[in-house]
Amino acid sequence: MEKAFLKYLNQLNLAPPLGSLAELNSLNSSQLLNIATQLPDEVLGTFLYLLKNEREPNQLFIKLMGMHEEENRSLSETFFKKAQLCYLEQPEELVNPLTTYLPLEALDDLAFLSSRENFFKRQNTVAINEYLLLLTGQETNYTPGQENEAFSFLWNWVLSTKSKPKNLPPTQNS
Amino acid sequence: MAFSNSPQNLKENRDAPQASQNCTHKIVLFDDENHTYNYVVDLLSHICELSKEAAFRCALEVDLTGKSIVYYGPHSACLDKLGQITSYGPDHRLFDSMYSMEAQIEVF
Repeated sequence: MEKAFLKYLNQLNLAPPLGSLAELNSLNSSQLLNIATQLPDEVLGTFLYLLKNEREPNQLFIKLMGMHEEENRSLSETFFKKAQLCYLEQPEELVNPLTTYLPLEALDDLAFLSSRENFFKRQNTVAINEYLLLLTGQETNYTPGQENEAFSFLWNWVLSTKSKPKNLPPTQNS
Repeated sequence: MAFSNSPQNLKENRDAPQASQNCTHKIVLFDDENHTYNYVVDLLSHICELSKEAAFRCALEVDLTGKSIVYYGPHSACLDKLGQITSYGPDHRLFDSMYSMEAQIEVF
């Protein structure tokens, strides 16, 4: 992967031709930031991953911070804004985090549900009530401060669905 | 090796973890493979009251270097924050994430 990526970088002409990762790693802060800020977003992660595995990860981070030099500040800020957009989910991507990360099929595993208790309680009560309605068909009106009660409701509902006898298939003699 | 959020860099990182005269200790957050960048940003925004940008820088530092200083304060405040960090819970974005991140208090 390293050779392929270096070949790709060289084709972009963002820096002097590079023959090895060590040469890439030896670029100074402004050269590295110049490459990082102009790379397509899809390959930024690969770029950082390859650099991270070189010998001096602390030095890499300080270079990305612009060596704390004023002349590199603008480039460094551009890099961090770009990286933030690439690495973090954007708020509009998630309609309701509970429906995304606590789907019905995941609730079969009580240990998993238990491990997600803090996540559940961190959501706002609008999302909690919406989720519980979708899941259980029952309208709830929990308000801020009632997250514990809301989780207890969810837990008890999951237990109640587990304890209902499942329909057995008909026997051959019936 | 100074971390990017160390006191001598505060002038350029106003929303980074800040030290003051009362800061006798710091909290160091450690990297692992079971938490996403989003989790770290949520964690640090919520508990250490960092801006999203400062929290993201800490997250990147944790990923690239293995650790990052995320809070400065007197020992009692650090203890309180440490308790919150280590009980924040697993990362809901990763099905296999079952634990909180690790952090420790160090003398500043």
